[in-house]
Amino acid sequence: MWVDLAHHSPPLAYPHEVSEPEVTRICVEALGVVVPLDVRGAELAAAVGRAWQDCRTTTPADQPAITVGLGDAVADVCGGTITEVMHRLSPTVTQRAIAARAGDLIMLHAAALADPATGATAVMVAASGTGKTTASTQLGARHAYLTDETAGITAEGRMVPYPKPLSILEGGPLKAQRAASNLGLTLTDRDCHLTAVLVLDRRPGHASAPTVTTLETVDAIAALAPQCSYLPSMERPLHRLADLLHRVGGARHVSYGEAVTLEPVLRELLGSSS
Amino acid sequence: MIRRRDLHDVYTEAGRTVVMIGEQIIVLSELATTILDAVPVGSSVGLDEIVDSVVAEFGPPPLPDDALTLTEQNVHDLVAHGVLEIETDPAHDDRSRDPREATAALQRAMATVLTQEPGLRWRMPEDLTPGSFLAAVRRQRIGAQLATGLDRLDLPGQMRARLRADSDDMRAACNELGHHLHRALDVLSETGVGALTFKGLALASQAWGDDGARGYGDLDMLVAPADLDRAVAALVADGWQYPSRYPLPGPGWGWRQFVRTSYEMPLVRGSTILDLHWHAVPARNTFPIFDDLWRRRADVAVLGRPVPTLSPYDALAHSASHSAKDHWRWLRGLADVHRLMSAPETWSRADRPLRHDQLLSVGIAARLFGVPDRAPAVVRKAFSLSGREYSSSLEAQVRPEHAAARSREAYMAILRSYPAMWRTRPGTTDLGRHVLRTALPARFLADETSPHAYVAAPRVLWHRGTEVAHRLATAIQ
Repeated sequence: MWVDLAHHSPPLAYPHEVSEPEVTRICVEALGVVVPLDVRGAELAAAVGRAWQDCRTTTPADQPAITVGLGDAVADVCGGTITEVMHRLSPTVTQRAIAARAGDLIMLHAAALADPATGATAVMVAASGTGKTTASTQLGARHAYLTDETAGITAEGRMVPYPKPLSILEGGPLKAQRAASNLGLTLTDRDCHLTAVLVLDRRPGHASAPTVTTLETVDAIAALAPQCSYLPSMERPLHRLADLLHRVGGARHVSYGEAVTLEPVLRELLGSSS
Repeated sequence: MIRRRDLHDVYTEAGRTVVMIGEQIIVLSELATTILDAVPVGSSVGLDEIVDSVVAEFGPPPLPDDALTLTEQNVHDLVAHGVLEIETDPAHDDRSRDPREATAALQRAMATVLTQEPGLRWRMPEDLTPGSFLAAVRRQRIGAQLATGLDRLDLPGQMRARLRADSDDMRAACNELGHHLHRALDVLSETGVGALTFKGLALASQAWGDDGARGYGDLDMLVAPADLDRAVAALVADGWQYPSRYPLPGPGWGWRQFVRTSYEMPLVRGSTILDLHWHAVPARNTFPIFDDLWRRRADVAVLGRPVPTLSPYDALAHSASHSAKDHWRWLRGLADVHRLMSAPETWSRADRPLRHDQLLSVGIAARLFGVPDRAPAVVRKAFSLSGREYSSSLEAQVRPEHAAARSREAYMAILRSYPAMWRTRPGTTDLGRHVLRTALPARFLADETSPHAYVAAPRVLWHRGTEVAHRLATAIQ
């Protein structure tokens, strides 16, 4: 009988590794879901704690733990270096959270920034690698950072934050995971509500001010749907998206060159005075 | 009679509609919205009723068009996109029939598309069901190429609409892929890294004169081995994700071993995969090195912009190698070979003989689709050489999809890779690399950061050995 060696690797231990590293439980809140992380080893636990400090919570966990370890540890998330482990941890937590909220929240692949004074929030939808993190880091000092990955929105338009660590390129091929608070971004504890939906279209050659056009609802749904997680799990998902869009006066398609030029657009849409 | 498919959700506003089918989102025009409205949930209606609804909404079309023909065409489009179904929907009948007949018909249809003989047409055999033909097209992933010659094929209207719809979907996906390709090339160029794009869009443009003619898939780019670290760094900095379970570039033995024994790695951006190669083929000594390929490169248009790719002869050699690696199972690849070998300019810059496996691909393509006019003598020689492999390729082409999927099982994949490797007539160095690559895949090297082979290698071997032992023990139990 042939078996598949490529998957389901069994726990392995190199004979030199005999001592069991201590396990630290760190609970993080993502999209309203409390995910416990059981981290093996003090150094790794410190790194995880630092990167995820903006999501840490003392609320009891409602999910099974994700085990995290270095090297050959028996762990759900592991890697040869701390950077690798951190790189793999972020999508694992995100996946766990969005799976738990499937069918409940609208979860857009988007960055979300809020006016810290009013809670008015702009969700900036974009595909992977097209500028969400850059927009978050460049605009998040004046606007409160809610997420750079998945914007959770209730049927009533309330934002469910996920201020996960941001992936920052610091020289190596893997991006480092940095807490928003360590990058000087603003955070907020206040309730935030959806005020604007932007479909970002970054064009490196776009020299002038951003071009903003309002999309018809049907086109906006077509643009947003591919960036929604677990949309088919919802009851009448297109109507849910349409309700959301009507609530904020439609989605805006924004062509821009540099993230910093989005600042006035954001200020106007959020009605901010800052 | 026509009825609605099971649509997950439908939303209409201002006369236009968006529908969700599974995970797919489709926007309908005002005309298509009217047609959909004319087909209520849970009931079937005749075409005449739909035509009445359309005429009531929009009035009769200007002559010489007629409402029936236009409406029927739009209904076929909605059927092709899975919004409506006709009770004898061709894509859902008869898929379980023996695929030989349909595959043979597809070969003849493709030969008609590829022929240089003017006026030749192909009519679908009457005893062949449209469903089995479409199933063969999809199994062979050759719909986009077939659609380039629709004007030479006499097909039922529904099937024509289905092929056109599939082709349109693929073209839309190719657009996004093309933008990613341009950006990646720009990023590498700004970093001072020369990169050739090959397969996919570039090959479609080069072989078919149309960058959307091969459907969509991954992006493939080739850089010089010496530029690999810089290329990876530049692409990652631009937003491509480094894959999990791959060693990180750097001084570690794991990375060095990976670069020594492998030839490509995937980078991911959303749903797009960029296969970054530092050698064009696994048996690197059997194919020209990057510097030679770069010197001979050609430019082809992708989304209207020139991109560097392999010379036509190198592209033929590569496509022919690729077909041989897959045991000539895919008509898609063989059609590429035929297009390239039919172009006189391909041969005008031939600078070396084709390898044996490449010759076999050329011969099989000639047997399947015809010997091109003014083909050089080598094509006829390849034709003569390829009799035995041609017979086995016909068997492979009708093999069901699940048999191919099973080959993903690691042991089987490894075993299957050896005959393909052997067919390239590799030297001992390439064979050694292949053994090492299959014995120690990237995931075993991923966690090895030590720069010293004497530290890292035993650990990797230990892990691999332990896993093999565990798997065998599990299998025996």
